[in-house]
Amino acid sequence: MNDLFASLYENGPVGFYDSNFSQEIFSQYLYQKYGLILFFSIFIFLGLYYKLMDKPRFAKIHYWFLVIIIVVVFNFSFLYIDAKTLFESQGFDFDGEYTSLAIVNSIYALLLFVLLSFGFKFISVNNSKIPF
Amino acid sequence: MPKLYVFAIGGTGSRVVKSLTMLLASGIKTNYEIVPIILDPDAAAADVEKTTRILNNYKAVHKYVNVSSADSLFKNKVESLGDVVNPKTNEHISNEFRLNINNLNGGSFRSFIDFNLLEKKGNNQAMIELLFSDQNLDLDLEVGFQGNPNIGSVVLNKFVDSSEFAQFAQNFTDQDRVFIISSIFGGTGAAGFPLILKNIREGHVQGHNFEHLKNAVVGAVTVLPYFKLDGDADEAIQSATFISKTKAALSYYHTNITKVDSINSLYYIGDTASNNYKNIVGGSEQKNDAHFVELASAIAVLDFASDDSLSSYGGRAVGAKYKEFGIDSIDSSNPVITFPNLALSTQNLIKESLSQLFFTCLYLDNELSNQMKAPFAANQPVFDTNFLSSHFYQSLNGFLKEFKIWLGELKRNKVSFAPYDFHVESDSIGNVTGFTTNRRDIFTLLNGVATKSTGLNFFKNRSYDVITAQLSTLSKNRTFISAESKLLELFTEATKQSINKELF
Repeated sequence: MNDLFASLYENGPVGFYDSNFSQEIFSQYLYQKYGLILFFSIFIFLGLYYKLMDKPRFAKIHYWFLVIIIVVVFNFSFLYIDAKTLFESQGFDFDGEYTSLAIVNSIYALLLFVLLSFGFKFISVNNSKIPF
Repeated sequence: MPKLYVFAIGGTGSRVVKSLTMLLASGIKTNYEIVPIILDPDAAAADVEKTTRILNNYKAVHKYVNVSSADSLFKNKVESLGDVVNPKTNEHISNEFRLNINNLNGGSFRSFIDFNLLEKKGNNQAMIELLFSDQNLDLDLEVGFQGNPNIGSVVLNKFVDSSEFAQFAQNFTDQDRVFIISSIFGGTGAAGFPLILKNIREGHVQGHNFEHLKNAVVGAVTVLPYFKLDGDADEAIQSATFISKTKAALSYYHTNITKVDSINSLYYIGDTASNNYKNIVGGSEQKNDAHFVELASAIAVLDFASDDSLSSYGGRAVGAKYKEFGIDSIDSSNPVITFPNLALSTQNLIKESLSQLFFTCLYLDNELSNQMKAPFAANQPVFDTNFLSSHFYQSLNGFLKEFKIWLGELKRNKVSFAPYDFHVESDSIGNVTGFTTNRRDIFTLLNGVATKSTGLNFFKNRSYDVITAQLSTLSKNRTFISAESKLLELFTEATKQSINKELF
């Protein structure tokens, strides 16, 4: 699974690869960790929007965008903070790499949320026309 | 389905039919198709014109009710006598709810009875002058009988000679019923009720005998005085005479109706008259606000339709019933009737249904345009701008506009019937034009009825959202014949479930 996520994060359409940084991420199974958290968080937020917030007042496109922003910010922040905390404690001296990979993570979060919305909307009553 | 022919005589008759139509629109139904027959000699009567407009809008909306649905707004079929008769016969009578009275095209009562064609100063003229004063003879029939039942009984006799009455008699079956609405204190109703009843019980119309008609189950509401008129002293109609006229008519009814068992069920409804109407003798200017007594009279029609124990034999009623209407309680210092003031049986009959129509009206007025992208509106068949400009929607809108006016008038009249908390709007000459509400939650609009408490819940739907959520839930994975029937079905069910969830 680590290999699968590694290929996505490194060679995907919006991949990021830096030999030292990427090697450490891979060897410490962080691609798997961030990939799984990415998927879980997206499923949780999709469920939150299309089930828990399945109310007429939330059936507005701006609420959907708000949830996307939260998902994106969450995935960006989690990866950035987690990776930086971990590597700095291990004495690594990376700098812009954290931001680059966090941006990749948040772009995937954005794409996946939008894509999966078209499936999840069918479990909703009031939000079934969102995004359209 | 059997038919209930409702003869609505005079202004009060029309206004009671208006209230009845509002109740039927709210989804209350009977086991009969209702056939209103409005009789009013006043050619330009504003109340008649308004009632026929409401009935026509009702018909236009009812066409789209899904016949297989158990409950629906506008469920009970309402049709004109022409609608009943024309498909079955070669005769073609008007599809209007109001029927014309032969030879009544304005002019004086003198000319109506061809007084001048009688032998001058002969016995017949002398007899007529004995029965009718000069003022009676010169009365302009264009605006009705002006409180003269002695004239009304002569003129309305023409109706029973009409082809319309003959067609009614021919098409009347043993399953059908008749209900007669009239006021006892005026001219038209007081004269028309006993006249129509007598002709039904005789069962003899234009040379033919009709046993079904003779043995018909007949009910009637005779509305006792419930308003007064301004400027009594100088006017043709004086409300000071209402009580004495009522006493005289009651005495006549006792002898000619009660004692001979003519009627199966007779309802007496009235109120201590504490309200004054403008004294306008007929025409388009004579428009009285809707009154709770008219609503109670409309309930009498429903009560009669639901009573299966009534029967007639040999042209007489078996076990005739005489009923009055009462409410449960009222605060005499603030005489306003709300739902809790009504008797429990009345509450059970109208509270939920009327509220369903009320919330439907509010929603279509204030919220539908905001929810055109909501699933219930966007799914096929869609509620789009074409639908909103359709004949159906315009008719529904026209009906609901009158519903709002009706509720507004009931509220501002005395005694006030104010089940909902709203601000009545009126135009520069004082006619009610509708109402506005200013509560954030529409379910708090019922006077004397508290909303169900559900504690703090951030995600709980409130106000219109409660109905929107129900509409979308009910429409999911469901097919509809048309957008029109979809609207009626969804709003019937959604408002009912919302009301049960939030209120009753």
